[in-house]
Amino acid sequence: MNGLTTGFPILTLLTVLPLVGAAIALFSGKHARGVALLTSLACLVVALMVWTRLPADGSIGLVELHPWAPSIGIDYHLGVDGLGALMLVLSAIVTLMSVDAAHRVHHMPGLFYGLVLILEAGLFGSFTALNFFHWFLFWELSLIPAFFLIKLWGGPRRGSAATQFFIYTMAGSVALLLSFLAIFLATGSMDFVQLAAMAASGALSQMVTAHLGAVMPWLAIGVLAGFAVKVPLVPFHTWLPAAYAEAPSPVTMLLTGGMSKMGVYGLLRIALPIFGVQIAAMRTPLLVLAVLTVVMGAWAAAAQKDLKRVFAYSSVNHLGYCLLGIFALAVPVYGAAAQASQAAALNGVILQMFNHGITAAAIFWFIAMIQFRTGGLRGIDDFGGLRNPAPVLTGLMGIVLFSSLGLPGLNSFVSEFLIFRGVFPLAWVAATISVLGLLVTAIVILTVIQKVFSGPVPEHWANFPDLHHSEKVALAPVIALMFIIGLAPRLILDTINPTVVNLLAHWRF
Amino acid sequence: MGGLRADMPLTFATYAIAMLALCGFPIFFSGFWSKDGILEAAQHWSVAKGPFYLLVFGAVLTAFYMMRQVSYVFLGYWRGRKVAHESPAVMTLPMTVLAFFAMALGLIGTPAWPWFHAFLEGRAATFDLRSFAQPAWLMLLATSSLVVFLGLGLGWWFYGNKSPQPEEPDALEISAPWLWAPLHDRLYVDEFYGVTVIAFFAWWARVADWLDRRVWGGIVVAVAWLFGLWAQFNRFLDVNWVDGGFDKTCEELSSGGGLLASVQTGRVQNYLRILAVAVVALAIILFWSSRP
Repeated sequence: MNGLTTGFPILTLLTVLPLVGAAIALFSGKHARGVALLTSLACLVVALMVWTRLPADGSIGLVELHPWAPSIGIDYHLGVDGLGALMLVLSAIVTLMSVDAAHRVHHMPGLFYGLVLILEAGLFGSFTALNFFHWFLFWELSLIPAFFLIKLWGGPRRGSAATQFFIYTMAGSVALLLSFLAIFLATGSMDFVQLAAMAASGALSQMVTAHLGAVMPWLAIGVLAGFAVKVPLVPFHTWLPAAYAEAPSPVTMLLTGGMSKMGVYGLLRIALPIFGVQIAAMRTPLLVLAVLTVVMGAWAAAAQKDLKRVFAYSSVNHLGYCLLGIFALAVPVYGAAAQASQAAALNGVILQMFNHGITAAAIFWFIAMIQFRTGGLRGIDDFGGLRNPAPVLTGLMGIVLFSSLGLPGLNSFVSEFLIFRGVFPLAWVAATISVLGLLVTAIVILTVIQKVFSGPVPEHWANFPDLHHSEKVALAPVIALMFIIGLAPRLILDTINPTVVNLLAHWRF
Repeated sequence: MGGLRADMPLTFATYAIAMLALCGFPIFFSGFWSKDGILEAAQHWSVAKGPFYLLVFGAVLTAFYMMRQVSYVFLGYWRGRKVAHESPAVMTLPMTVLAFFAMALGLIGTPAWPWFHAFLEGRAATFDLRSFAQPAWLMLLATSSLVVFLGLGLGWWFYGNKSPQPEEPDALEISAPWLWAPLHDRLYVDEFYGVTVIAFFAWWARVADWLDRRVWGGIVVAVAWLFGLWAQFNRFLDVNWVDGGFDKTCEELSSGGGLLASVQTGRVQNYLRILAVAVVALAIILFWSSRP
């Protein structure tokens, strides 16, 4: 392929920026947090610039394409549409939140903030790469800083949690890699855009079958396995509660706010465009797993006593809605009404990725604040009546919790509503059972509010310190964002809807 | 509380209007007209008459408990310690507005001018005072009024102007303890939910957690264990077969080397002796094999 760069290589700049910041942070000792704050702020500005420069028709823009190793099908191919750009903005926001939350890292701060920024680069790289090799590089690259962040700064059982997280994700990645090697052997291409076009025309399946026999469904399963672990999909999720609970809370924010979206993004950018027909053929079992993810995630959250584990399972539940939407729309549809349902579900899925990222990261931010004030306590029964000594903390965390619950007027309501609006006509049984997840989540979150914030105040928490000024200032934009998206979702939907229409027009089930 | 009508007259007046509207006091209050409409619809429902009688019974109870409540709060005498005072305008003004509509809103739902009904059905309302004179409607008016007065009267009979002390038993508890006990325990509805829905919720949450830890987690542990077993097996192969074979070869090579080394003594005389023996042996072989 010939080299092609439309305008300034802003996506390359975005990926390189945190790497440069990481290199500086590594050697700046106690000033590392300042370096990380500045870097992640700059990244947010660049990500927002990307967001405003998308093509109006929802296609992939800001393309950078250069031959890298043409003999083995590897190009340096970058580009984003509404989906990719929204994930870039989300990653930038979540990293900024995480750096802000991590203000008491005394143990090797340079390395800590350096790894956080490398993780950000991994997120940016995987949300912009359009060639498998290039994308896989960043997909794996993001694992390494995450592993060390858990392993070096985590809780008491960090060792096994980090190892389980790493091996689990690696196992999924190996399946993914094998599938793509087979695809490359059959087609000679690793380019997502080319492969998607081949899949849409039916040529991909023919070429693979001619070269390797009827393995296409197995390749689809391999790719799905890689993403199922990352999102996660029940029953491939058992690494998650341990990793989320043992990771230091700022890192948990990155895991849930950023890295879990890599899996959903992969399903939308890679799995559905290239393996749409195969996924449509496996739709029913996949829907069963998605419903299990929604319902069992919520119920498992109800049984937890550790706040971080509660919200780890709650994350499983919330990403379950994304999976439900994705698998429900993977079906050939006829007629304008069914197409509108598909579009509603996909809009909902993409917006839910963003909303969950913001909301879940904010919840773990609050948990970090509570832990900081109590010397690390985070049991659901360790508190009570905190609304008396800490009314501002209670009020703001209450808003965030109600956002997670899906209260109308706040962000998550819009995306969950869109998902159910889309899924119901396409797979009403799955949608009906999944509604249970909404109910159980509401019970879980109200129980948390009741046990932590209501009731009598234990004597030793009578002087529980409320939020101080800098915390309020840092939280205000995030909470404002929840209201803005909840009240004016078109700010985001107007940009992602063209992408949704464009994607659905090119997918073949 | 008690006797608040004297200390908070405006609150009492607005509350009384609201309470009478809620009970469906005839003619002057909006609640009457809406309740009337519902009762009328229930009466004409051809499938079953049960809902109509339940509604009538519910209306009696509403009037009864509202009368009880007003008696406790506004009638009788003051039982509290502090002095009660009327609310500021920021509260009384909205109360007055609401009380006004609690009466006035009835105007849009009377049979003579059923504006709201017509609005819902998307047609224009007609004004016709003769609708009041229909016998069916008059019957319903009588029933409805009877129901309200029955409830209010019962409430007054049990609770009017008594203001018992908080520790005293309820008037109903004294006269009908068999009825009071289940009512006091809220007809055991909470208990029923506790042993059904809530128990199921908690049990199923534990099941979900157990599935996670034991089944899904157990499969992961089992896979890890199988990998460990496979690794042990490989180690066994490596140590005993691969390494063992390699070691054995090395051993044989080195012992063979030792054997050869014992020949390689470095003494020229020995070498010459071996050479001489070899030459003689070769000569014998050649001589032997070249025989015709």
